[in-house]
Amino acid sequence: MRSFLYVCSIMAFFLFAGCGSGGGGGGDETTIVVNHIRSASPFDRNPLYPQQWALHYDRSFYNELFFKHDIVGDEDANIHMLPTTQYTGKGVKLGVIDSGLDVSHEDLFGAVAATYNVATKDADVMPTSNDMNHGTEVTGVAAASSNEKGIVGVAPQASVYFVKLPFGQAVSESQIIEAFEKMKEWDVDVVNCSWGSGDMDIGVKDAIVDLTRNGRNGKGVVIVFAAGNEGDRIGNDESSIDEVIAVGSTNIHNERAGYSNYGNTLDLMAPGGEYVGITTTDQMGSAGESSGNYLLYDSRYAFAGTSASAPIVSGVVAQILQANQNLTREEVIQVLETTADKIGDIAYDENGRNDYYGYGKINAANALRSDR
Amino acid sequence: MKKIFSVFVASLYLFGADYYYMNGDKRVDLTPMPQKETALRGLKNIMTFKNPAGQEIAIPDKIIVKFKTLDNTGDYLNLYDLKVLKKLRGGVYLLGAKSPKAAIEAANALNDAPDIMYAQPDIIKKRHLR
Repeated sequence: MRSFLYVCSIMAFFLFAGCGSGGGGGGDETTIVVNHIRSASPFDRNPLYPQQWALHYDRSFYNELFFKHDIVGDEDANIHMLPTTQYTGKGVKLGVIDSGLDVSHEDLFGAVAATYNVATKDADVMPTSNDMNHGTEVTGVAAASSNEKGIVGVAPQASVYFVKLPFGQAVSESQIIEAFEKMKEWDVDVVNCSWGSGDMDIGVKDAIVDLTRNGRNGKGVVIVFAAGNEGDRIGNDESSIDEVIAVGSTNIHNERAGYSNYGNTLDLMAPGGEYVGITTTDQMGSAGESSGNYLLYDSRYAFAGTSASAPIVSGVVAQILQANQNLTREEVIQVLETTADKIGDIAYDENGRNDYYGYGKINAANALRSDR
Repeated sequence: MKKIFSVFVASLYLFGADYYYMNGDKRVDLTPMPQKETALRGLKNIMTFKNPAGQEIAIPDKIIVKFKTLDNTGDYLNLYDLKVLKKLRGGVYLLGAKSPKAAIEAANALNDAPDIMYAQPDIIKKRHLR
């Protein structure tokens, strides 16, 4: 009986939370809910935190990498996230434009403030297939709660504003523009885009530039784009827009991942998995790509790519904006660029950048300690 | 007669009408291709092409226009038989045309108009998660 009541109470909670955050049933319009107050447990109380090598160094995990996978990782491969819960993105609106999001995920409870599905014009952004996992993976990296369930996101107390686009199907320019306009309407602070066209048209570029210049009451929204995974020069891609941050990937050896696109519009690097994946949220239960609730670093479907790197940067942007909401877009970008680690064996020019690492790999601790 | 018509349609695809659109100041030439041969099949009321990068795109009966001034919008809509479908944001509109071909022609003409910042078809294509 007690277990039955327990199940009922859990179901009621899921039902309430699902309706509130726009998951499952959908609605006629965008759902905005008062964000649940998310506390942030110490990061090391999250069971999968040790294997989040992109955020911090854990000696036991590196030993496991060596003995189990014969990989000798670089201790500095991570972004040096501060181990305290001082900067967690609290009070910052973090936008994500992607495929579906499992809003019922145990590690995203309370995180999702609003959702919108461009194709169906309602709030239902739940994935409709097991392989529609990307948005859940990206959002987990950026903003999974520190609730002692699984992982911790880079900004575990940021409020998530999610727009679903029909990736995998054909997407029109006007749908992309609508997604960015929704972000403007929600007045978000930072937008993560782990996608790109490789062939950008002027209408989309105009919408993105408008948000970077005029969003946040003129301070400018920080928009982060994945640079792409072709191992090729960045072309006429959304990530090439001067006003956005183009993010490439590094690996466990603290080097540029071979797949990571490069070029004179590349801005920053962040861990993106290569040899060792980025542990993140999967769809709950048997849905998604694994049989559990998380995609582990050594899963067959482990998350890797510049898609994984971009939300790390977006999360750090949320931390910076929590520290100082008055920073303009340009100031945030300047903080990130001037505090990045100059990794790799390619020389950086007098401005501190090169085409393969941009301004270097982000260093969260340096960015948050920098004199602003 | 049916055979002749088929040959005519096929020759259109083979040799192509002069299809293009303007991406800002840059002309993008389009190579027509039968919709059934594209990954974009299934969409309604579109024309399908390959762009110079070899990417398959579809053009529907809609265009995106950014006006510098809204003073003469009615004239432009009447001239090219367009209707407002949606205001995307200040000065930027999604307009409906009679057909995909009419959309391409209207976008190209409007792109040169003095009151208009840019005009382009509402291009549909696959975008890649990374």
